[in-house]
Amino acid sequence: MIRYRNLIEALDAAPGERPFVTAWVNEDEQETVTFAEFRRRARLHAGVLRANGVTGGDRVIIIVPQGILAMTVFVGAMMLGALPALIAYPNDKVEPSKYRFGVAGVTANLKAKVVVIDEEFPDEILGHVSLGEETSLLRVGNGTGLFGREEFLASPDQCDGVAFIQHSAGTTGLQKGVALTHAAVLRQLAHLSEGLKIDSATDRIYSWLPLYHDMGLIGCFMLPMAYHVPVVMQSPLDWVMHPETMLQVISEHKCTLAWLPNFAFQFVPRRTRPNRRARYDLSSVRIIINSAEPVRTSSMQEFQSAFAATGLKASALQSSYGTAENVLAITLSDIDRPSGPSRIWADGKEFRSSHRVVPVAEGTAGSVCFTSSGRLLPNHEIRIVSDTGAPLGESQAGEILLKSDCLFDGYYNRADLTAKAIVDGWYCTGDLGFRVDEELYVVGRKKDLIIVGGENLYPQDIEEIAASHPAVHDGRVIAMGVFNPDLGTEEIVIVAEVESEDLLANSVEIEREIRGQVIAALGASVGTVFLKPPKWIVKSTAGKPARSATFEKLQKEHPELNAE
Amino acid sequence: MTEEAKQMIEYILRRIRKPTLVIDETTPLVSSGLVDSMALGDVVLELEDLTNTRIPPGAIKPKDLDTVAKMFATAQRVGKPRK
Repeated sequence: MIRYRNLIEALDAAPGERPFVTAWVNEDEQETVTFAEFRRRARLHAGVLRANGVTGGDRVIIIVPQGILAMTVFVGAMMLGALPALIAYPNDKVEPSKYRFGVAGVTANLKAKVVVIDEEFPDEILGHVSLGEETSLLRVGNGTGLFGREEFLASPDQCDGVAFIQHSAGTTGLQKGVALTHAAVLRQLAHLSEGLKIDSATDRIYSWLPLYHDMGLIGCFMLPMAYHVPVVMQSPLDWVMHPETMLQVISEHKCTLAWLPNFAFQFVPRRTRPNRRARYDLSSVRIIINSAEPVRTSSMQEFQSAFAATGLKASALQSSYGTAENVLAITLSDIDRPSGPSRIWADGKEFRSSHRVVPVAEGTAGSVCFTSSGRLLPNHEIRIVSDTGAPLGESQAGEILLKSDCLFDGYYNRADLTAKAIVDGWYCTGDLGFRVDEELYVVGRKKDLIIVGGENLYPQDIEEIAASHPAVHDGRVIAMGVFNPDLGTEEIVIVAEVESEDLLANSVEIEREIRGQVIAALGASVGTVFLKPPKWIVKSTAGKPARSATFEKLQKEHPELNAE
Repeated sequence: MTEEAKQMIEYILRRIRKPTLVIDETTPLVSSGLVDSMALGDVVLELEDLTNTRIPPGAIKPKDLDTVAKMFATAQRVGKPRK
């Protein structure tokens, strides 16, 4: 049930003495602000922003390291009816040229009234931040926040319409600014609160997720703010250098809820020594939601099995599917299901040839396993459609189209992109999936699908097979379809990094074995296997292989791939 | 070069899958892209084992681990005795 007219009213209603954000650095260094203190700081920031000419509808860009300051400035801007946008702070995960390109594009599109930027922001990048004639640049840092002398008290009527702009996935490239209204965000939060059975008296959220990502911004900032739930946060960079601290924070603060992308379900167990796991207590955890990338059963099983002895309940690992354009989630698995999200085994050959799910028994030779992302949130409607736009029935995979009460208003200042994304009132997600028993199974991205002689192949399936070869580094494989004019269809091209450069001497044998494994498992022959030395494949900002950038690199090294 | 530094170099070469690469205590690792952020967690764990210390989260940035020499200097500066 939505009780508030806007997000600021929801924040105002929070009990002042309740802890809101704890910024966790280590066991000796933590800062907790109550809801009252958070409101006070946000109002002071609002006063300074207003003194710099910010009014309703103006954009405020925030490029500040993750923490309470970034969050209070964000809310301070919202109090004025301005549209804040959090932009990723530069770090070593992002290639500098990509970051410069991304920040230049995003800031040019937003034409902000004020850019709030950390005092240590590198000077060599500052020149790429687009500053118009009317833009003020405010530098902030330790002890030099945007603190004026007067708190700005927002009128509840002041905050209406668009609440903020969140950027679609990633931190680089020309991201699309997703404009979200207070109403859409509050409706999404109401659905999440109901589906997750949020109890502000007992729940506590844990997060290392970046606030420029929808899971971080919505799941771990807006949700606790509007539903008055404490949240314990650490910086993504600290987490990636000390992944085990996630267990420490959850144990210390008895956190009950977290969101994680699929890769973290493998990343954390593999970087926590087995002899140290017993010191943690995860029995407080009610739900950890796997979202933001296709859910892999094996990843969730690895996490569960690694930490079962810490008291982690099997029912705690759940799944969701969502998109920034719908605020955050579209589906959510049933959190009361004791064994976690539903799974289904299907005949692999049938699925590839007809996109149809024909259930088979678990472990059947040639079967494929899918993990459900759950059921639709209330007031959400999807259509699964073919390439021609024809509606498909249950068990048929196709593109997911969405209508909901949480959909975005459009891409900020990009009517052209909005018109392409929303057709006849349906948002075209670009994701592929199917429904069985009212549950949605997401299988990949439409643009990545490989079609060989009419057979549909999902690159993830091919990549999993190639990565299982002992000479290939796990997770460093990309499969793609490249049109072969002689055949008149696509053929499979695999790029795989070997474990070490000396293995390239055996490339003929390794290639032969990979081809053999793919044909044995999928019945599809591979056109070309490119074995590459370690670190050859281009990575995304999340550290995962970047498909299109890797293909571009491959084309440069192998011009024969450009032949049409 | 200390025995621990040699062991760290061997570990890093295994971790980045370049066993034939030649690096020494002053070779830039993070700033050159040889060690990426996803590998930093492993490097920190190895550093803690080799120095028998615990490196507190928040006390270091990737640049503090840019060379093997800096890693050990950082461990000496911020490392705490293991419990």
